[in-house]
Amino acid sequence: MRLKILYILFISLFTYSCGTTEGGPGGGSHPLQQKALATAYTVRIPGSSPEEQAILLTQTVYPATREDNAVGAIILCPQDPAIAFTAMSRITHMPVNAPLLYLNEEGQLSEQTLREMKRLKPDGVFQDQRTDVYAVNVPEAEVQKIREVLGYRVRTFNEPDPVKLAELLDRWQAALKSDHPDEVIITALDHPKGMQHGLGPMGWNAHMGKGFAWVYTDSIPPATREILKKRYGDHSSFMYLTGGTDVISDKVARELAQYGLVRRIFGPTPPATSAVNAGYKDYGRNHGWWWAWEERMFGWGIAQAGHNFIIGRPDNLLGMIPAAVLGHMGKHGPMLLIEPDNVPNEVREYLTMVKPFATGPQETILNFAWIIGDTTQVSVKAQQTVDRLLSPYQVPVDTAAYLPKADTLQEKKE
Amino acid sequence: MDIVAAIFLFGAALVGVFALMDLNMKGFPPKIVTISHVGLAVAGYLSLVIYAFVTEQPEKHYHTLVILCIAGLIGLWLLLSKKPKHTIKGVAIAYSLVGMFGFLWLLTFIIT
Amino acid sequence: MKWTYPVVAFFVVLVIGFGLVNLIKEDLEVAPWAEMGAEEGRLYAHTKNVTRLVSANAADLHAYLKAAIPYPEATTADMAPKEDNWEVFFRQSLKPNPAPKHVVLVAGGGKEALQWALPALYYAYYYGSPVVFVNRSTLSENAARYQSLKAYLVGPEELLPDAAAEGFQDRERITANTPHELAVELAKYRDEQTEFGWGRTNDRQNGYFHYVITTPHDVLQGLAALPYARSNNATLLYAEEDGGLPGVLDSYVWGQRSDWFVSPSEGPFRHFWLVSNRVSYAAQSRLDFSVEKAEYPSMGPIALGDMEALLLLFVVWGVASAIFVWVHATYTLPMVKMPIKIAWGLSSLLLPILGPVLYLNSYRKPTWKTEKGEWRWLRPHSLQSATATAMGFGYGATLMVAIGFLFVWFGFPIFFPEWIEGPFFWLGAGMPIMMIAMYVLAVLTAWLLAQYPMKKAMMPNMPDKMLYRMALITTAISMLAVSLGMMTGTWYMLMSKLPMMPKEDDVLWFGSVWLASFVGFLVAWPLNWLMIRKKLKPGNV
Repeated sequence: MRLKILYILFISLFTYSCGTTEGGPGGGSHPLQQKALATAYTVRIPGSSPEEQAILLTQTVYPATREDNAVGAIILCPQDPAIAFTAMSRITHMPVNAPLLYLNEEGQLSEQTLREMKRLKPDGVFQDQRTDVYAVNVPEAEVQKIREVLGYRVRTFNEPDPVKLAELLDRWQAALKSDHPDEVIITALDHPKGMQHGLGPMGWNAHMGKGFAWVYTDSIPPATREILKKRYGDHSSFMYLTGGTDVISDKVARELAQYGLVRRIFGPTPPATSAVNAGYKDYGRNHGWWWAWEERMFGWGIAQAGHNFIIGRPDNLLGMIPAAVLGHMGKHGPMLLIEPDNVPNEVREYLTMVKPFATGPQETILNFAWIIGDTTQVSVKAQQTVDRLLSPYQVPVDTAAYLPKADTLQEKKE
Repeated sequence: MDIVAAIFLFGAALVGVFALMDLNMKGFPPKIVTISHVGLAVAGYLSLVIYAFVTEQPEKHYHTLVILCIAGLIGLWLLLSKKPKHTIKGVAIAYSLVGMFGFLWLLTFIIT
Repeated sequence: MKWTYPVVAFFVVLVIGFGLVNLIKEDLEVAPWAEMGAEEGRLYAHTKNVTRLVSANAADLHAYLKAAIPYPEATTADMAPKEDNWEVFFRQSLKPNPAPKHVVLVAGGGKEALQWALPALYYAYYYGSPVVFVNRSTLSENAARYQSLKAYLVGPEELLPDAAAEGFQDRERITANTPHELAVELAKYRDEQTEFGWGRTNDRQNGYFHYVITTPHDVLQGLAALPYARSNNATLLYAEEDGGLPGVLDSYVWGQRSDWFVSPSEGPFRHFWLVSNRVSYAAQSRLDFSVEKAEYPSMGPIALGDMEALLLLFVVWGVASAIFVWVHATYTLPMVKMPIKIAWGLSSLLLPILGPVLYLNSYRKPTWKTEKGEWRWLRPHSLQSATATAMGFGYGATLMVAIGFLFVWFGFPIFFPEWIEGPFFWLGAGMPIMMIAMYVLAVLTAWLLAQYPMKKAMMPNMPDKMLYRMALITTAISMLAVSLGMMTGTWYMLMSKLPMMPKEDDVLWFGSVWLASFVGFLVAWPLNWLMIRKKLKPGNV
């Protein structure tokens, strides 16, 4: 059955790609259109490199035919996951409204990215001197190029240490919004899977613009302490650690507790953490007076049908980080992490929980997902599995993945 | 050239405000005020027309030309009319509103 | 020094007027950048709320969707839809509802009939309604079975004569002037008794609505996309052949924008599937933008939110009030001094209704002439304070609004060096800087260009130095009172009440500062009551 579907898909993709030259106005002159496989509930954003992925994302979110659907500003940074992660966490959200674009691997601005920056026509952030571009660790020559070629107003943040960069951005955001958000996401910088666990919560920041700081697995850097001290009042931070004790140790969690309330968003694997994050919600008191009170509100808390998801691979960090912009506009959904060829159990169970169903006689609640990366990142099969999980139909999805991780019975053991 | 037009029209509007004040208080504005207003406005309009002919930009400010043309016709009526002051006052206020709108409309295209 | 008042007034009108005209202009534009490279370098055609399926023809699209939407509930006939087989295609694709409550009658035959029928076929496919095709008054053979059900005749009389439905006990025709309008009509139509129609009206705030968009010329692509009617409960809508959106569709899709209260991740979400290559990028981007979720108070750019509508009325009444006062003063009050008239006019700009009411009351009072031949009005204390407030407010508050606008237009300066961190970090923040600057710059301007000359004219014998000092003190104090109301009002509206801080081209920005200024006036009024009592300000001019 599966093979048949794949076969049909192949043939149709072939005929489909043959026909695109015939397209009328707005039709088929787009080089990656055929790769952008659309099913009923998913659309693939088929980037083959981080740079291309980032461009595809800005093109998806910002049609740029008028000021209101163009960007507020653009984030530009080198292809360094930790730097991009920090920038996306703090800069993207309103009022800045900025997607992220990358320098190329040599650390220069490629022609493609430069043209995309021209297309995006930033409005400029009025809360920040009408800045059009936030250049994070971009070489001076490239910044100069943007100023001269595009005439954009650039603010540069030069801080190679991601920990200190987070502190710098925290100060800048406070000036921008006249406030330090008390909810702070804490992610481990030195753990190999730290950022993978942090991807989902980072998406919440791109969506809601809360605080962010780095720690190490076993210690808290001074810049992070600085960030936490600045929150209003004593013990008044709300810290969300991304990952379990193996990622951020209990010692660090206890030390952090002197700055406020510590919580963890975690699962045993990055995909599991992403599923927990999608359903995670923390709300309640922050601070208040008789005439004005601020609640804390953190996490997507999605436990019902009718939402959208950004789906990709945890090790495709450079592709997934800019994809958080899809949580900032359009479908506004959390990230879910899967394997290249398979949807892991935790994510599968989560998607089963939020599976839609027909409601009124003339409507259905619908889910939707973006697939990040080309077929080398997420296979067609995985996309189809996601599509079935999102659908309102009770069709059997591939059940093999439900098998717990144990020795394979069929292999003869000595 | 459109910027030159905007500068002329800015001058015309500023002078126009003084004329409007005079009309509001006691009598007709002095000749010099009227003449400089008309001169600046015509210069501004002409520069805008020239701009529309020579420019290669897609925006040729046609709507501004139409709005200012309407204002200009009312202005011409004001110049030539022998009606009592009573009528002139009201028409002058209408004229200033149309003219100002046209000028501001032009500005929204230039300052962005 | 007489030139200063008109110049201040001109500056204020120029800046605020520019802001308002800019607002109008940006809302009237459709896609001004579409021709200026917005589509250049695009790698694929999808956008966040519009998925664009590029296909060579209907057969191509049909084959693609066969694979892409494999759900048995949403499969269509195996053959590709063509102009001559579309009726059969539809009949084979339909999954009949076992207990239908209505029957749909559409014209059969050529492409034109299909254009009129397709919107109804989408609903029929979703619901499983029995469909009767009418070819030159002959009904397809299934007609007799459904004569007890209510019949919906979809399409114009010429294609689908009334006579065709004679056998049906209960019938209703749904038609419009063009297929485009008919499609929108059907999208909105709903009858709960017979369960016919999508019922997607403007006030449905919580439905997950998807739409398939094609053009009448590419109607076969629309038919090929029929699976979406089931899998995504998509309604069919038509764009124009030239790639644009017809007015009826444009206004409909803007009404489909859904709002958010807490976070934009809350549903519902709406989506378009474009299946005609004819639809232009400008139209696609407009569709994409029309259903982009927006916060409830403003409903985002272009669309009109409830709060936005109220505040817009407030601003419009303000402008009307100012014009009224100016016209009235021109005709009836030649004896009032120009600076005072300007102050009343500018005050009324920010005080809709209240301004003209106070103005009229102030001058419908007994008058007398001073020795110097100046007119005075006999007013109660409260009206004297209102006049005195208006004298300061008219120049001061409007200057603050104008300066505030310039700040938003050019961007707030912000500072965030390490040393500023701590309890006074906000001194480097944009909003406080703007507020302080608004106050300081407005006081300086109003003091030098309006209040000092006014005092000078009233008390020509006083030494200049003392006049300057007195003018500065009264200006600073009364503006402080205005600011007290205005700044808190602005802060409340922009930073707290509205989930998103509005930009300079947003009705809410103007509405908010207008409302805040109104509050500022109310706060300053009692203070001027004291100033009148202490004879620091005149109240009967």
